[in-house]
Amino acid sequence: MDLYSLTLHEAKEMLERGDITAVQLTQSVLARMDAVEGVVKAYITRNDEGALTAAKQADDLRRAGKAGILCGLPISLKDVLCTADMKTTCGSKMLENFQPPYDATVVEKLKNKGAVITGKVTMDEFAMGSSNETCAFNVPTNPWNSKYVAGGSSGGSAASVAAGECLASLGSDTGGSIRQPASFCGTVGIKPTYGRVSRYGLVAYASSLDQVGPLTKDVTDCALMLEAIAGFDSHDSTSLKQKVPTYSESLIDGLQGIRIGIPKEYFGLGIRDDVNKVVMDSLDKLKDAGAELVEISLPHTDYSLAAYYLIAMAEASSNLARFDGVRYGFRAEDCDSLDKLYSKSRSLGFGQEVKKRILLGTYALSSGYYDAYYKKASQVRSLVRNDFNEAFAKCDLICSAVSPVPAFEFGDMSKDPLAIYLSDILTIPANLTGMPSISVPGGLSTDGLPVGIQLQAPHLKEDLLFKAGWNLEKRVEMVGNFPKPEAQ
Amino acid sequence: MSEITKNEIEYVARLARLDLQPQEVETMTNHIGLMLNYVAKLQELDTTDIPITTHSQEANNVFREDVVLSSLERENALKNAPQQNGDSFVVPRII
Repeated sequence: MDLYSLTLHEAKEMLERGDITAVQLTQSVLARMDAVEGVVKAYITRNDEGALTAAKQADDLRRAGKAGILCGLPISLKDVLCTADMKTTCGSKMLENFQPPYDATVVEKLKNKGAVITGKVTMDEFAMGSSNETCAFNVPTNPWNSKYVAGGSSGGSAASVAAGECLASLGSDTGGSIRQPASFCGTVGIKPTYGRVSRYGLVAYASSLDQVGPLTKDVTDCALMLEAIAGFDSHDSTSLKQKVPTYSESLIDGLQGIRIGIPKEYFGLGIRDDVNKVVMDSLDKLKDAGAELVEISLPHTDYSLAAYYLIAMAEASSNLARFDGVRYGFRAEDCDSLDKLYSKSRSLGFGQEVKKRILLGTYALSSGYYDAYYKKASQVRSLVRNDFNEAFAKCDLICSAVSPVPAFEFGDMSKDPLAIYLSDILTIPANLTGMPSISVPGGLSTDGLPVGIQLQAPHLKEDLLFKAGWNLEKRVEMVGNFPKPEAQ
Repeated sequence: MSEITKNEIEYVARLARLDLQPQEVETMTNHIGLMLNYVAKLQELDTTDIPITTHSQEANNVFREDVVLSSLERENALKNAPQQNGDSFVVPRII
């Protein structure tokens, strides 16, 4: 049996029983990388040596009876998370050689629980994109079909999980960046409640929207990973103090008494027919599991995306002001003044998409335009939040597609500069409102690509997402049936 | 309000400390113009008296006792600097 194809919980059980060692498991994953990385291109930095050392340590700890809950399990990290022992590039020339002096809290938590870090995986530059095509380095392909994108911005996370180049991954989600690539690559991915997971050591894109979360092969793995990384952190003033539940306890059969809301506005959003069919089939499956389906209304759906982009870009323009060529990151040569040093370093260090978002954000915050753009968007954010509060009075969960379309071909979205932004319409409300949201594979499109189902819940109701997601997963045939990129 | 000119893009680029090539000014003016056209739909909504939301949770100041904790050592803080002298970050002459 190929150990790399195990789920996290299967491998964990086999390690616990002593059927396999962490070194064997890690060697299998590294060999898998050798076999498929030429096609998949998920990794920016591989950590072969470090992973083998960590695996040996994990085996020692287990023998000593000191195994943590992730002991010996190979996990990849989106290159937006700071690692003290590996470069953190954020997919940008600006941070091409950046070696963080500390580990992000989530990385520290994984390591403390015995995880084996396989390396840093690719992403859109500074997490700005929906196809991973804005990365300054390697762009991953979709393991299901290499002509198609893996999604973004956590494209490397989703591709590395689906291709068996790790058993699980951590990504980040500002407007769908975990859920959309999870959907495109047929993995599970959750954006936790804002504040559930520490952002310390996560390179900031839009601070009021960013969350770290896992991408995994199934819902059980996702629950295990979130349990490992969630919790209060004094280094992140927005992190929540509420106790972390044992999410695995919510994975029980039957959805009796759970009302699943279907927003009527979502049917006018140009969802592709085959995607819609998967959504309908999934709703039937959730109903079979005992859930009650109810129609709900989210009247400001049509405005939420405009508000989201203004807020995200305004925050980005402010966050990215720190890249000035002085303390870390790229510095342009031959600058005779400080001002020139700033502007030349930023102009040469940032790619086009990042510059575009900084410009729009700066414009929206600039004198004379602040009220019309940033303030207006922040008011509409209140309206969107009210929509969801009212909807959750009528239902426990909200179900939809993750993306109106399945994975698209490379370059497809470059013809119309707005198209790629518009495809985020279903995922951005969870970031504006802070509510948790999961993507679970629901079926395949007509071209044989995965289609993810999105479930959204009120703040801190991740347990409900896992429960419903697990019930759906049990009733969907494609889950666990991962692709073979090496055959392409 | 959705029209944006090349001059405005150049002005905003200046604020954001970005030097744009002429071709970039052209592309950015087009793309940002399209985006401003799209976001203009927000003006359809009457938001008089609607409070702003800047944060999805109740965001409050977080206080702690004023005690000395360990922080990044100087050497570590400087190690990523493109130019430093072991003591400080080095930048072009300012005065």
